[in-house]
Amino acid sequence: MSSTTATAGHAPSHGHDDHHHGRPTGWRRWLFATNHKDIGTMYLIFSFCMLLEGGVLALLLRTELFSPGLQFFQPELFNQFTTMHGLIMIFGAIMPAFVGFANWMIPLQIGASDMAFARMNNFSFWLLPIGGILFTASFFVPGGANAAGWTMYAPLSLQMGPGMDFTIFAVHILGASSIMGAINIVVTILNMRAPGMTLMKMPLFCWTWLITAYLLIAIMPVLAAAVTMLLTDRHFGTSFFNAAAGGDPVLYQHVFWFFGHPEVYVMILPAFGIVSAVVPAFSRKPLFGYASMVYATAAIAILSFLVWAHHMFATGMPITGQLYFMYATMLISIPTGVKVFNWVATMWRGSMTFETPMLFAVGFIFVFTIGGFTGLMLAVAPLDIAMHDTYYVIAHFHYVMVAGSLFGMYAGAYYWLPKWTGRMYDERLGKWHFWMSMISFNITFFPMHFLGLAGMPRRYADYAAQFTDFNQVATIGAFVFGFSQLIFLYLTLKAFAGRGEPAPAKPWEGAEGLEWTVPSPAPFHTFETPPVVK
Amino acid sequence: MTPEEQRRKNRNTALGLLVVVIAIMVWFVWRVGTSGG
Repeated sequence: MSSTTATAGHAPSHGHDDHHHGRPTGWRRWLFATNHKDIGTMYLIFSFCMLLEGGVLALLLRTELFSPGLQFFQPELFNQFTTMHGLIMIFGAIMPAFVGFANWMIPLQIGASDMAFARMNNFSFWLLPIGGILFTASFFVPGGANAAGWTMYAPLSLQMGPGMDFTIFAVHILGASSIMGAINIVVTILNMRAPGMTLMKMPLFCWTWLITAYLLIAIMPVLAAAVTMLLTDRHFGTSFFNAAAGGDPVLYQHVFWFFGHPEVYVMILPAFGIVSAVVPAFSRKPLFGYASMVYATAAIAILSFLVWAHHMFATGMPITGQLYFMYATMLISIPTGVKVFNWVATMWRGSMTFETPMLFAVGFIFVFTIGGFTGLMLAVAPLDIAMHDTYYVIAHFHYVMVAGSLFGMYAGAYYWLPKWTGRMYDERLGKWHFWMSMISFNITFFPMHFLGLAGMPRRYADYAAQFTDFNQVATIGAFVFGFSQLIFLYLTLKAFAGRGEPAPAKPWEGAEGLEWTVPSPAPFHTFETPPVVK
Repeated sequence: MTPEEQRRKNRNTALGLLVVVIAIMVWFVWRVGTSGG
């Protein structure tokens, strides 16, 4: 990335812009919000609430799994918990959280005054609570919530009660929100960059989000089509996926994973962008290999469309199909390796310090890479057939989604919190948050590799007695991890309440980018006169 | 670029993307309908 020095437009002294247009107050400010910062804040708050809800479901699962036999929940309810934990975390927590980051940071990083479609932005956000309520309310309908797994495979999903309809409707709504958000982001980045901000000068966070938004535009209609076909199979006499009437349930899996695999990258690419901002800032060096990072991100996105059936090795597939999907999946490790190499090369001989954002970024690189390696093992078809639907898979994707996406988000949250709130967080508590999370995360999920390799299947409320020890370790780790997140809640509430040391416009010595040219907290209106980027 | 030109450009880009979204959705339903169900 080239220098992003602002030579005109919004200098820190322009803080008086704050009240130019009669900033709305009270509940109207939030209900009718069109300001990208307010909407970003609402996205972040909503996603954290959903993270807590999904986290409570996870702790209920771990409570039941503390010992073999059935202690607290019947298997039917347990399966509702597993399913809704996944759906809530993916569609309620991770995806909206990254859109919140995008709303806050993309206009600030490209020198735009706001998102391209401010009212659509409001609508995109307010669809989310409706989806969240539908997910939650589905527990209370006859038959309970969706228990078919977050993948909603037919024929199970065709046979469930109204809880499945709630899920389908929620997925429709959240999908519409995602599509609108993605269109907004693409248009903002393509059309509203400040003069001089060429695409190859953009911060990598904007690049990763641009590519993510294209992914969303390509895959969310596929999911919408898939669940609509489930709906019509359930209620309107079609039989797309109903084998009894000539449909093909395996075809559902193909369609779902054509959405589902790129979806994994939707949840990780923005984290790559955040880490690519944090690592250079705390290494006090420019990002190593900026252009190769952009091309690697694009390569990952393109490859993500070509590997979906590696989730389906166990369904039976011609050997040539297995070979193709195995090797194509392995190819993804090349651009991913480029990224990890570049982050490490950025740190190499840098003047590094380890404030909380950097700890989370380095932690991300370490644990995400472990998740990448276990993914590589799962890509090997003969291994996958043995490990399919075991706890090895659970361990793998939690290393990618928790230690990847969530740690990436924490890195970004601590990095930009001073810009959002105008207050510094308590560094000591931030470090406690990191170390508690890092240690307890590994206590929770590392033993699951062994459980999976030993044959413990996922999505069961009970297990054979020989799996007890590792399950008890995992449950203890899960509770420590869950309660560690309250440190983050406390720190952010404190900062948003205006308590703590005031933050300067640029609290991090090595940070670069237009967002650091505006005061902290960022004024209500920024870059009304576009800056000129040299 | 005037604000009106900017708005038109944004709207046209968004409409182009919306057409892509609808086309993908329709194509998948059609394709699944003709190959499986």
